[in-house]
Amino acid sequence: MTDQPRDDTIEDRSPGEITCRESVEMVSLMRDHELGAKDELRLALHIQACPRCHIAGRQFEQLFDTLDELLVRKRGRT
Amino acid sequence: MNVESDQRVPSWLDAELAQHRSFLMKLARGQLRDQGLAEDAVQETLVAAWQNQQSFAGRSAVRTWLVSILRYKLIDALRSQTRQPVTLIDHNEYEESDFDVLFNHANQWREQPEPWGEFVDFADGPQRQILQNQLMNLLELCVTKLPEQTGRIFLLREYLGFETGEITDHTGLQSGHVRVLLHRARLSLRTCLDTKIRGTTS
Repeated sequence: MTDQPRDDTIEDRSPGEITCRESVEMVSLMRDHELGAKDELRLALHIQACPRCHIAGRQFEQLFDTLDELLVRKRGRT
Repeated sequence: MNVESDQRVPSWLDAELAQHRSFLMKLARGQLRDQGLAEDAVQETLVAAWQNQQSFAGRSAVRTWLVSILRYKLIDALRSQTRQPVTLIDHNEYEESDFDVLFNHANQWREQPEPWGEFVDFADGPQRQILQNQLMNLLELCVTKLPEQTGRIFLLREYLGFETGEITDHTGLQSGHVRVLLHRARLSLRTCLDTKIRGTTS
């Protein structure tokens, strides 16, 4: 990811062309609901096929769950 | 707390709320960039907490409850403020190369990440709240270590729920830059939490 605005997507690539580093960027975009459907599918396929990203992806899920918990975004927690 | 006499806070609650004041002030000051406005927002938060203490059912930490109240105060204050430009010339801000150590030449994870396991996969039970609070405390600690401007953007998004477009409006940053800062903040937090959890469980 560069410091410049993204005016391209990863949509034109095959799942195998997504690197772990790119998958982390995509996880962040997905958190902000800014990842397109095709990229979301490619991310899912990459995470499914890559054991390291499988674990890292779970860690990000847990990080986001904790943030949501911290900020009472989950219903019925207060 | 300094409230009117007819709003006197019971001493036990006063003490409970006061211990979170510095954290709330740090959060408010970081966003509002104005000591007076930050103090007002925190004071209003503490008074609102006291006035609505019946709504606190005790299933979350007191701090969580207070942050949820402060969030609305800050959102109101920020939306009524003029644009607060963010400058990113601070040498303490992250560079993409700061994360090179995590990845190899093919941009694959250099090391196999280790599952966080039971530290975060807490089942319902007496240990749940303890573990959950521990994890939240670790996360808060990691958030305080974010570089100033990155932390500010991260808190606008994650704590205050601003959309990317609102952040660009408020800070003058381009949307791509906001995404980069959020990505780096999250990767940094994941790395920080990983280090701390390994330190706790080893």
